[in-house]
Amino acid sequence: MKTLERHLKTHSSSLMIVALFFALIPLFSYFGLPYSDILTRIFIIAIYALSFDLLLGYTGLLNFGQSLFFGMGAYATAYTLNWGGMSFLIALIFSAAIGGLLGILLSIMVKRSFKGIPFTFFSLAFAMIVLSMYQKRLFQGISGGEGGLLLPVPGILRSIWALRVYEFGFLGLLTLALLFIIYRSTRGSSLYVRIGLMVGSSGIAAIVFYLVAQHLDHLAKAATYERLIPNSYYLALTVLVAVYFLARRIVSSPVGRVWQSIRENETRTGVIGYNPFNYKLMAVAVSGAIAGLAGGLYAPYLLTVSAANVFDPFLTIKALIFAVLGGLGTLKGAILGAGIILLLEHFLNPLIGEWTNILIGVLFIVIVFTMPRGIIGELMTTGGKSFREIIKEMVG
Amino acid sequence: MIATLASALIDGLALSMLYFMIASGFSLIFGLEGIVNFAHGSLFMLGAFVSYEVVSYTGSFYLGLAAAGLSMAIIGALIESGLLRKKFGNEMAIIMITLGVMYVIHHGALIRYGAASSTYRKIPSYLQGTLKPGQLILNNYQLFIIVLGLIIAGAVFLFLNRTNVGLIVRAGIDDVDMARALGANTRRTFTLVFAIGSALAGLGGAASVGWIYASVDLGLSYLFFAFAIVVIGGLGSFKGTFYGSLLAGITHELFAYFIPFLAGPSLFILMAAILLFKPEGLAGGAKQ
Repeated sequence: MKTLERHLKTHSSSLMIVALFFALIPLFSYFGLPYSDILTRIFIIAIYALSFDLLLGYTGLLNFGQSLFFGMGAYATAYTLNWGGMSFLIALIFSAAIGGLLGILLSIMVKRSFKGIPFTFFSLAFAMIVLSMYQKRLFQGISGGEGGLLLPVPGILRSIWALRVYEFGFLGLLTLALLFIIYRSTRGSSLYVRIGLMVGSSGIAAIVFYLVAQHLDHLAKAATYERLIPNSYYLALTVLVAVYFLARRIVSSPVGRVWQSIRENETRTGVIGYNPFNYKLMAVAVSGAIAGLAGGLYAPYLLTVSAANVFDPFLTIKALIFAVLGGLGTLKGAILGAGIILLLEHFLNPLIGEWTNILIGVLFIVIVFTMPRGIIGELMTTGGKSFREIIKEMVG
Repeated sequence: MIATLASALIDGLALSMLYFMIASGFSLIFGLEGIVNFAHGSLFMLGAFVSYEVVSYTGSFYLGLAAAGLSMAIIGALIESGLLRKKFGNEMAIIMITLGVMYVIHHGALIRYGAASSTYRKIPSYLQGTLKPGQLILNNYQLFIIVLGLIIAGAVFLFLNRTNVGLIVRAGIDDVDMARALGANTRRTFTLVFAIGSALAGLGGAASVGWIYASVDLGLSYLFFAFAIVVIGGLGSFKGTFYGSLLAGITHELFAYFIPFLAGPSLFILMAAILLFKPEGLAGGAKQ
């Protein structure tokens, strides 16, 4: 418990605030479907960018076929939903599993040239073979051909519980303030007491919520289309936060340390007694599983899964752009990068169309020259102040 | 059967020459400074469109080819001296910059040309039509690509082996630090090599328009072809790149004629097989 507390304290304060912000914003603002749509997309793509950063930023392996894991994850979800008629959560597990398995397969095949440029080229070849097979008429049965596989939107994503919560977001804010006060005023007492108090008060708040909700039911029925916040928004946000903390945990574990040691000097790592191959295999598999999971989440969002839209090599290139823009080897950076670029695309595309992409390309070159360590990387070292200190000053 | 085989071989040779024109520059650039130029495919594509525009404007086929080669040489030199030079030695930064350039060219071309593919409206009459020796049917334009590719290969080979600059290039590929220590100006040579490589890519693009049409997608696919061929031939080896192109082009066309569904991935299967069983490539012993 002590380690958990220390871990949460050292790693997560700023990020938890950001996550809470996104969890609550649909409840308190005139937010609506258009925004939840783009944010859901950002959360999912951020998971994918994170998988890329985990491999490149920590192990130093540039996988130029990362979109293969993403795409196979999307296809795995399509298969399970279409053929198995199984639940979405099982489909997601399949997606992650197939991503991880492909990662292991790739690692075993590339064993003899498992570093640097040769690995990049091999991973590209691996992805391109699957991509060109999936585009062939011969494999139309499994790939869905040009039009792609249609998949049903899973039930869990169709319901919209946030509809009701929206109506009394104010109560949510009150509860949050209450929780915050409890958290601050019980400083010094043991963690169990604090958690107990907070859970207890949340429970009471939930009962109050339920009663008020019944009372306000007629309001919920009058809600307009724009106010609906689909479940997928919360699902994507939850998975993103979970994957982030998992990745954070892994890179600061002994295994993660060995990854970073391989990035710095592989030969020396081997001489110390760690088998580099095993650790690189683990890195590729974990990264592949996360990318597969992202693909699985993305599939229902796309409605149709086709080789052209999930295996697109530009998906890999974009993941690289996200990770580098935010800062390689920071995890947060990949999320931030994905957010910035996708928001830019979203808001500029209606205005200047295809020129957005040219702007992104130029921005990208400018970033390399002005902040070579990426946004988070530069912030972390600005004037000897850490990123956390800056955030602390900002929030008091 | 023999006739089909012969036309497959001729098509394969022509394709090999296109492969060679994009891969040789890529390979020299990689060999000399260890730079993976992600914009190389885009230069191929841009060369195709420049040539297409010039030919539609002036009606002169050869002027189009020359314009493509020359303009890509200039763009290549600008990319190298304006953007890449300051970041030498920083592998990640180089990858990012060339990716950024690729991104800009790709989307710029999309704005101008969209998804359509275009071909020359007018080429010299002796490049149209076919030759028919015996039972064979040979496409004149393919023969032209083969001749052009062989001339370029010969010229680059002579440049590398018979000139002083070529000597520096070879020395640099072998051991860039040692070459520099002995007083060779590898930096200036590299600018030249970058320009020549870009010009070759542009020429290849221009030559391809009359056969496979110019389209924006060419950029990315030919970049990947260049990756594959450089791996097949051996990273940084010029001769290896030539043989690699021949192997890749002919394999592709043989598959296209006889086992069509394997034609698309054939290049990547070859590349994967090389990396699996002979990671140093066909030429062997090239640097990693």
